[in-house]
Amino acid sequence: MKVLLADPDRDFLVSFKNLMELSGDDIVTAFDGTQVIVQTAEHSFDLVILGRNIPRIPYRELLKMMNENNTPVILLLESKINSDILLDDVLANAHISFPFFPSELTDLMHEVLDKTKTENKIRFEDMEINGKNFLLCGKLRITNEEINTADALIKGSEINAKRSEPYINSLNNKFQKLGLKARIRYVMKEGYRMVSEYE
Amino acid sequence: MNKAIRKFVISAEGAVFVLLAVLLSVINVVNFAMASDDADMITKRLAGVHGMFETDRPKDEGAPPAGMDENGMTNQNFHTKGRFRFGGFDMMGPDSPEMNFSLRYFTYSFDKEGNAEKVVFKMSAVSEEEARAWAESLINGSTGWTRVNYRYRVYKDDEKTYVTVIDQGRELLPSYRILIISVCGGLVLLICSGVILAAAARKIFKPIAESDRKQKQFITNVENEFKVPLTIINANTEIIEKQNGPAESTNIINKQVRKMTAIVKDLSSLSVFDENDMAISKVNLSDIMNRVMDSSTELFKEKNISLESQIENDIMVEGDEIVIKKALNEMIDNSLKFAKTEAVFKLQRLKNRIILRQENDTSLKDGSIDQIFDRFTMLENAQGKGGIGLGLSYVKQAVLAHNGRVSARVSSGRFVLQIDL
Repeated sequence: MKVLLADPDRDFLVSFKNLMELSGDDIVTAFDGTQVIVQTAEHSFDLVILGRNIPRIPYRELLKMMNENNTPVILLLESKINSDILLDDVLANAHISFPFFPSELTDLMHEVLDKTKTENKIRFEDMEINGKNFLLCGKLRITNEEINTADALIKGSEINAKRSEPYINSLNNKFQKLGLKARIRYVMKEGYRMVSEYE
Repeated sequence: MNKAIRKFVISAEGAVFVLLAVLLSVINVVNFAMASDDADMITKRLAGVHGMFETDRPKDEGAPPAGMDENGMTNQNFHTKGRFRFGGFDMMGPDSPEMNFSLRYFTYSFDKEGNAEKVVFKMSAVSEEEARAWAESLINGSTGWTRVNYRYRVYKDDEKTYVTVIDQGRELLPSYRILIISVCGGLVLLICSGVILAAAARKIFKPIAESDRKQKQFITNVENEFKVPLTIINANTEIIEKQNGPAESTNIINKQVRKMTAIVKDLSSLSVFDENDMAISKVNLSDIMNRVMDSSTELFKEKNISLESQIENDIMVEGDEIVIKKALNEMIDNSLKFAKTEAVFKLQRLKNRIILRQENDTSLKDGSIDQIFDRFTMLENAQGKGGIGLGLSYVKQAVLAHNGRVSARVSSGRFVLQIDL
């Protein structure tokens, strides 16, 4: 796959370029915002990995551009993910927080790309998530982690409550914003469940 | 830090208030008691002269009784009696001969049939009729008359019973003034000391707050500076492994990087806590605890530690849900690291207290181990377990921010961490 890797840390760029090229991926690097724009004009990328502290052009501007081009983006976070990031109007497709192991990033890259390639709709009551274009009811942007959380809850499979908490909060917030009946609630002794608002 | 300043000012103000209250109460009680004693001395003197000073006796009633002068004094030395010198002033005491002329009083006598007779009446606040009724009620044992400015005495001679009531209003006036002045002065002093203390506390706490802020900033910086390098080391180790195959040296690098990653994650738990950022609301502690325990069951299973949780339902507290959750997770992490075979978490209500307990078996010696709540403090069993001694310091900060208490001890091979809310 062809990937644009954009981060101000050149060692990071070189290391991950070398590593990913060993797996046969085509990696282009950019260490500031203008380079990102130049490279995206020249190439067509399957995926962009973007550092949040990229200089010259704010990462949100770059994200907006990628959203318009329908290029999936993984955002690199220096802090833990929180609901504020997930509720931003400009949203990446997936997030990963430093420090991480290379396999965590490569697994995530494949997961995101797989989602964009296959038609997979998740439905509960009046809620519908389209995994292919990362949209909730065709209106609100939604992340890979939120899709996985919703999917697991609907299927009734175990989720890690500790890790899923920001996604549960942001999902509930988005359901409410769209006036949907679906909600995620904590049921005693059972854990989190997807329920209808009036249940 | 604002909370610490507030706590300091409130407790110092409390101490000032108690001291002032004790001092002013003693002064005023003694003052009023002395004024009452003086009044009692006057009624006693009046009792000695059958309820009337000689100065008030009509001239045609003859000479004063034996042993008394014309002022009703039994002591001849009345020029010095009852006067005490204070600096250059002569002060008038209760047994001063001048008192006879200035005192407002009345005396009624009652014969055995209960017939009242006016002995003397020198008062204008009550009529003679009222005074007689008052004297009668006093002789019948009623002290229901509540005018504090009056003092009375009931006494007998062979034939009659006498009731003397004196007006000590003028003598009490200075005492009332002192009472009002001391209460107002006390209040002013309390307010002034509050203002001074608040200003002083800000100054005293400033360097502490500053060093606290710097320490947190330093930790945040270290955390951020370590994150990316760790990720880069990981990537390059993997490159080496992919190119040359796995080797002992890359394994060691991997292992150490994992350890450092855990430490960096531990650092973040300290740097994010700030009680001023807390969002306080009424939360169901039982629910939160159930959720946290649910999500940790697997981790305990993996480590072969039996986990038991006894959580009383619907225990509500005022607090920040995120902080509470984080503190509970830190306790669970601690238990996961140090429990040998079993861990117990209890939440119960005892009267108006809420008790949260973490118990597990341990290799530590018996005794109190409150030092584990200090930042960067690790006990002898913590070697090689990862972490740098910040988890429980977060727990303590969180508990204090929720006005609770926390303690830790080891007894008979069991580690017990108790939180009182």
